[in-house]
Amino acid sequence: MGRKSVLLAEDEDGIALALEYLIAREGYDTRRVADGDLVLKALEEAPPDLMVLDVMLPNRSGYEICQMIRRTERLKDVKVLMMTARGGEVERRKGLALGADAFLTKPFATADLTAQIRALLGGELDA
Amino acid sequence: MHERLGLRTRFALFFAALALGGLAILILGLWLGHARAGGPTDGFVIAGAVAGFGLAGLAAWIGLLFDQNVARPILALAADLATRARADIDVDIDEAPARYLGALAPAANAINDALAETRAAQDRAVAEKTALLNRDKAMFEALLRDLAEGVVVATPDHRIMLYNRAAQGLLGDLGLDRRLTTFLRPEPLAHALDRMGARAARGEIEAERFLAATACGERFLVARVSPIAVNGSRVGYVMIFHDATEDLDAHAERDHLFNTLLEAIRRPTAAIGALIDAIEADPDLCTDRRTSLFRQLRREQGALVVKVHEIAERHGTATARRWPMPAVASDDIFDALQARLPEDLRVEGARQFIRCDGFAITELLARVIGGLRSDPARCDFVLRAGACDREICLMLDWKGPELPDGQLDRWLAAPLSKGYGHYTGRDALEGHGTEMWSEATATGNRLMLPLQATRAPVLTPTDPRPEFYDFTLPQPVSDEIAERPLSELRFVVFDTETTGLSPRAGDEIVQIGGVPIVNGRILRGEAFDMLVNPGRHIPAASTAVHGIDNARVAAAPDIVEAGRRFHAYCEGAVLVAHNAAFDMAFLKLKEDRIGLRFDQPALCTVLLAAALYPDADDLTLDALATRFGVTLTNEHRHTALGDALATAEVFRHMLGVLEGAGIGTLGEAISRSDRMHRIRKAQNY
Repeated sequence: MGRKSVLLAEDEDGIALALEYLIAREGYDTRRVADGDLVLKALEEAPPDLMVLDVMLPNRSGYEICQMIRRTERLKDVKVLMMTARGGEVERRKGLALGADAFLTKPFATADLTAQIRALLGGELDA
Repeated sequence: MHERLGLRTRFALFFAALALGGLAILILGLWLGHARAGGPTDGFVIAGAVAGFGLAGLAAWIGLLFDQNVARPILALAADLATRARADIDVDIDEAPARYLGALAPAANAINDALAETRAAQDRAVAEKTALLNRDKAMFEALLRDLAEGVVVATPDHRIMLYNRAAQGLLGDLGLDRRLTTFLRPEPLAHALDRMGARAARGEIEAERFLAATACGERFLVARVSPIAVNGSRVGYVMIFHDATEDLDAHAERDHLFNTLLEAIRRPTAAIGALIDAIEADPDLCTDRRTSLFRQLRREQGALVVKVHEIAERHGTATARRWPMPAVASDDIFDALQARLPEDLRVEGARQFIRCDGFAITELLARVIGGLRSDPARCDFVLRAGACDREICLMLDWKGPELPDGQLDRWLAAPLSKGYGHYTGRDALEGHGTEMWSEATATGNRLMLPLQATRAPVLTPTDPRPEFYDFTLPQPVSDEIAERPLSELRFVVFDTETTGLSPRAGDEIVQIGGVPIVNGRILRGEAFDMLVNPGRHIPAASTAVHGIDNARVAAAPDIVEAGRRFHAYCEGAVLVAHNAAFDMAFLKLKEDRIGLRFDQPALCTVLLAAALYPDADDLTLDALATRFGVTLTNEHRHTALGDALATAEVFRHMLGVLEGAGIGTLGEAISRSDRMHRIRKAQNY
């Protein structure tokens, strides 16, 4: 079994640059996409083990992508970690209701993000 | 009576005179004939007797006919006409008895008909006008009563002529003819009225705005006053206001949050910038120095994260608390949806209450249901409202294909309704601070829309205040109160229930009831009704009288609190009670503890009745009620308020009789009462 893969969907270059680097450093095979439609294409090509998914993406919202992942049989094992800068409680509930495994509100400490990724992927590693 | 005798007598006298005159002429003629011609007297006498009796009989007969057919019908006709002039009688005058009076009877009937016609027209006009006035009045009352803003109309000396329910809610227990300045800090009001006066003098007719505080200083009101002038003279002012306490608080809170946010961001942002500058400035920085700079950078950024979350949370609670939307029943929204989209749409479950813009939410759901139905594979739509977390979720279930969030987003991006301009569904969701999504269920899919829960709106109890305005309050008089007519005074008729009959031997008040009389009207809606904790045991014998036992007064205020409230209630009024000395003794004994003096003028219905009816031996409330024809319902008797109301009824009737008996002013009423008091005292000893 090879390295676990992480797909990072984030349109903001600043944070994407840092996160891509940090996640890769954790030992995951990391790709970054900046557009909702490109996310779908990336999922089509090679389903990752986990998606770090921003809610606000051009063309397709993170919610829609998450919902789509959950209803696609082929993608049902993909873990979804959603994040947003809109900090309302109801956004978190919507994200979780649509099938996200975890939800982070920006700004967050990157250590929290990598810990979440480890927790979501590590469980499967043990199984 | 005189007239009728007069006319008939005159007719009788006329015919009597005719007969007598005829007789005289006859006698004169016979005498002349005998004197000239001579001859035997007998012939002349016989002729004279026959002609004389005949003449007298003829006169009497014609006289009777005249009485029967002319005098009596004329009198009857006159009486009929007179009655019809005074009272509304809708029956024609009987023409048969007056048939010999020619066209008089028909003419009288024509007048009668014309009169009846005029009267009917007048009645119709009055009825129409009254109906119109009543309609205006009902509209005016409904408008004022349910207006969300407080409205008070007062005389120039601040006595209240009108108030509405909202005003009562904001200012406390308002009452007609009570001073507005009792409920409101007087200075800002006086100042605003001065400015209003100056403005009016300059010819500007705009309302004057000001910030007012309630008497206790607890609430702030944003108020507008404008003058009311009738024929150029100022008769009062109208004040319209709303509660600004929460607005001001929320505004202050938001300002504070914003300032905190700015400061919380500025400081670390500046520090982070400076730290990065420092790191970049020297690429060959020694490791220690570098580490400490980076550590500080991390610390600043950490502080920024904490602050942002903290402020987001405070903002969340601040906006959640202040939710300017009405409570709406989920049924109402669902009913509207069913009416618009009747096919295949059911409603299940219990009614819930939510805070929302009912119209916007209905439009939003209608849009979604319409969109979902465009795919005929979806069916079995069910609406439901249920609790989820601390909110209420409006849920729409259906069988068939799910709803992609992107599709939902596109529906939400369109303007909600023509009536709302560019306002989109997304705007509506943000306005409600919520989101909408669909999720899969065991049988199909479900759309979720969480909204803020609220309790069922408290139905305003049927407010018994039918008398919330009186525009005919007596003119302000600067005279000594004793000189003022009784009809112009504000009375508070009251009664107390006690633990016993001896205030000086430790008996205490257990209940106070009172009701104002203003302008001859008993203001039942402004009644005062309060249980008082006597701080001692209530003997069973007393409980048997008034039904108040220890348990009922356990949580009631003591006499200090109740006395203060009652004192405020009676401010500027004349106290009235049946056997006032008894009730006043209880109050006066507590003056030191209450810290206020009950020095208002007081009238006693027993003494006043004694002055009016010196011979009456029964002056109980029931006897007086019978005397004035007042029916007292037994239901609430022997409660303080019930007896106060009964006394008020009796006193209101007494006011008219007092005036008739020459007791017109308060001073006269008091001096007559005092005299009665002395007489009764003398009689008792």
